Amino acid sequence: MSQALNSPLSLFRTYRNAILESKKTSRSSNSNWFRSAAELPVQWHLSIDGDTIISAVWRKKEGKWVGGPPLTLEQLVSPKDGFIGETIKAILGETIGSGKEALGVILHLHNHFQIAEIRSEFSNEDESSEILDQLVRLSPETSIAGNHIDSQDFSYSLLPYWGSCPAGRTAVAIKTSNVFTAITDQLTIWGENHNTPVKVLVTSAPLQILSNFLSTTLKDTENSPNDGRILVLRSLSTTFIVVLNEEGELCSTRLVINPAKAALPQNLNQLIVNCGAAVNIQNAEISLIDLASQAPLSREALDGLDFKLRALPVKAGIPLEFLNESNIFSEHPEFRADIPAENRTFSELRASWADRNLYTLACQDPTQHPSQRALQLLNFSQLIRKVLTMVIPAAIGWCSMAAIEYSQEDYSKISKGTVDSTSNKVKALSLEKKEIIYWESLTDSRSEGWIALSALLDLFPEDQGVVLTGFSVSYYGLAPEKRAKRLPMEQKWRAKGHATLKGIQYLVGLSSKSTLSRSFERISDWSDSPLYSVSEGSRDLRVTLDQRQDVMSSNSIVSGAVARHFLKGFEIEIDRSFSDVDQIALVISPPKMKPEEDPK
Amino acid sequence: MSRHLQSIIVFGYLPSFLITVALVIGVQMFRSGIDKQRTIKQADYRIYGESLKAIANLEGYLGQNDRRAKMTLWNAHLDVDFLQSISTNLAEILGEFSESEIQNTAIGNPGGASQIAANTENNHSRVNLTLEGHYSAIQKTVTELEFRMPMISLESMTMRPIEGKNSKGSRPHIRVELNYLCWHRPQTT
Repeated sequence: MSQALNSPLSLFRTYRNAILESKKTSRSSNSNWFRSAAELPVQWHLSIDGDTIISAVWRKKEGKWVGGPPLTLEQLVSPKDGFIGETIKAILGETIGSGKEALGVILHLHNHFQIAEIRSEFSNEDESSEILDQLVRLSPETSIAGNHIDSQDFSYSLLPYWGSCPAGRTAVAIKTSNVFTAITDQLTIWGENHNTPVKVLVTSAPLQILSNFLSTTLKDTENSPNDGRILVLRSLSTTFIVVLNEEGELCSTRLVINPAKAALPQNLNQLIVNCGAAVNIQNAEISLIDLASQAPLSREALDGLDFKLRALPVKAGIPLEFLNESNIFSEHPEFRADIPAENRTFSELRASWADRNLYTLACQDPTQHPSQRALQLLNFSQLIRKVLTMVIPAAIGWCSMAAIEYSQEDYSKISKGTVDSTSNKVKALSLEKKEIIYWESLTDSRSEGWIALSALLDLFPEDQGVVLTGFSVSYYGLAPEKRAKRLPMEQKWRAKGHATLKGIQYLVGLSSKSTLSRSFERISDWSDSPLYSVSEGSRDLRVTLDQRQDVMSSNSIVSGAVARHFLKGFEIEIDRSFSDVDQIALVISPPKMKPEEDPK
Repeated sequence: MSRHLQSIIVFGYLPSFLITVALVIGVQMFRSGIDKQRTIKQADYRIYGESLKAIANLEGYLGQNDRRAKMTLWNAHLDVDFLQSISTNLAEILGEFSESEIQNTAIGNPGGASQIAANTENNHSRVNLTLEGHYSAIQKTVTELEFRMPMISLESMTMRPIEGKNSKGSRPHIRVELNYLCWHRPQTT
């Protein structure tokens, strides 16, 4: 059962019910739903004394009593259809259902209840009164003494005794007839159905009177030499005997049904003595309080009784049990008295016990409905949910805007494939460039035979008196420095032969660096070859001319007549060097033909 | 805690809390995802823009001086066998002259390392030619050969006059020994 109650389904059902209550009732906004009948602004009080019913309405806001709807005991016990609604409308007016009205219905019982003993094992001071009250209400079979416990027709509640008396009990039970269950349930259900808090309270009239006027009775007997007090509360149908100890604390009670209307029980004196003796109070001051003002006791009835008749403040037409401190002592300040602070009976009755519901009304079980705080939390959660329902689309919109904004940017339209293909194209072109640079470097006009053959004729013209007998030109790649990327080059010209005197002069002129430089620049111009230019800082030119006296001998090519004019033999060496930063320096390594470098 | 309060917390607040948390996380993830994507795309876009510039620069470079045409020509030369090519070309060139004007007296592979390429990693081969004949014929032959074969470089040239007549009865003027090296494609590892 407990598991079923706590199951998620059950919890969800509870939540659904809470939502329904929040939507369909004014529970979340009207705090009167959570107050007791005695706290509500409009209270319908019914004093039930036998078949006599007094009806009055207390309007707290106006601070006055007005007559209530008249009704009979039969209407209370078996209310007819429509009776409840008409009666409540008559009290509250036509504003019912606005969610602001509330009605407290308080039944003050003079009879229809009895005093019952509780089992001795529960009647000790160790038990908490609250816990014992719950036990008595929920499980009278286990807590009430006797064998005939009828929990169907009777409700049980606890009445603690705060006074300590030798051989006395610490509590008794009030056994209340369930004869008014029909009207209390219908009142509550009608309120539920009409969104109007209708709270019902069934109380014991004598206890309420005791709670309201105990201070007055104690004041009168403040300096009494007696060892206790016995109050006799007489109503039309019952006589309620209350025994207080010397400190004014409640020790014992007894309810006696009057033999006839307005009569006192026979042998009342003996009953009073017995009540006192039961709690070992022998010399009590006995007071009679007559609650039936509509049928006061006659002098004859009081004859032979050994107690004083005590008067209490009276408000015309309003029973004493309806009254409370605020609306009686303001009019009758002579009855006002301060209760000693240490008197527990007074303070406990005032605090809760006098106004405690004698019925355990299932329909008023506070756990049946969510509390106002719970409903307010529920409303707040629904407010959060509403905010969320606005926030979610807003968040989706915000994200969508961001996505749209992003999609409209130029960069978002470029696919990864496009970027990759572009990058790959850069890499491919870079490779192509590297390859071209490489082949351009290799095939540069670094060493070409046709230029060398033409340059030879340029350097040694036919009409300058020079005959070559040997010529060579060689190109060398020199050893590179560490980590050098290009190879320094060297070009070596070697020529030997014979020359006339004019030829020698020409050769001497040629062997000067400036003349030779001009000659190479000229060769560079007509050959369009950068190799022969000497203006670069990365190039060096060296020339050596070696001449000797050596007359040329005749042969099959040169006759003796010609040869004898070539008096000098010579050898000329021209060395040209090109550093590794020169334009024609040879690349050392071929490029790597797979992409490694960033195209940037 | 009452059953009602418990149910309100479970069904009233918990879903809202979970939705809020999910919403916050979802929005945060979405926004950070977009920001991340934006960062990536911006970087891609920058690379794309730089690539386009690089392509324009490279295309400009490659388009200048008929570089692509040259590369095509080089590739055509690189794809044929060097010795066969030089023999063929030389035969064709010499065919334009009479034997009395010029003769190819020797063609072979010189020994030893290249004077130019020995200190490099460039792939190459070498050939040695001996031409005998008139200076002008030799000059024209060398010019034509070097024009036809741009992949060759002259390593050395030695020239000396020749006395007497050759085998054809013509009197040659000079003998020229030419050492050429020819560049090849880099060797792939």
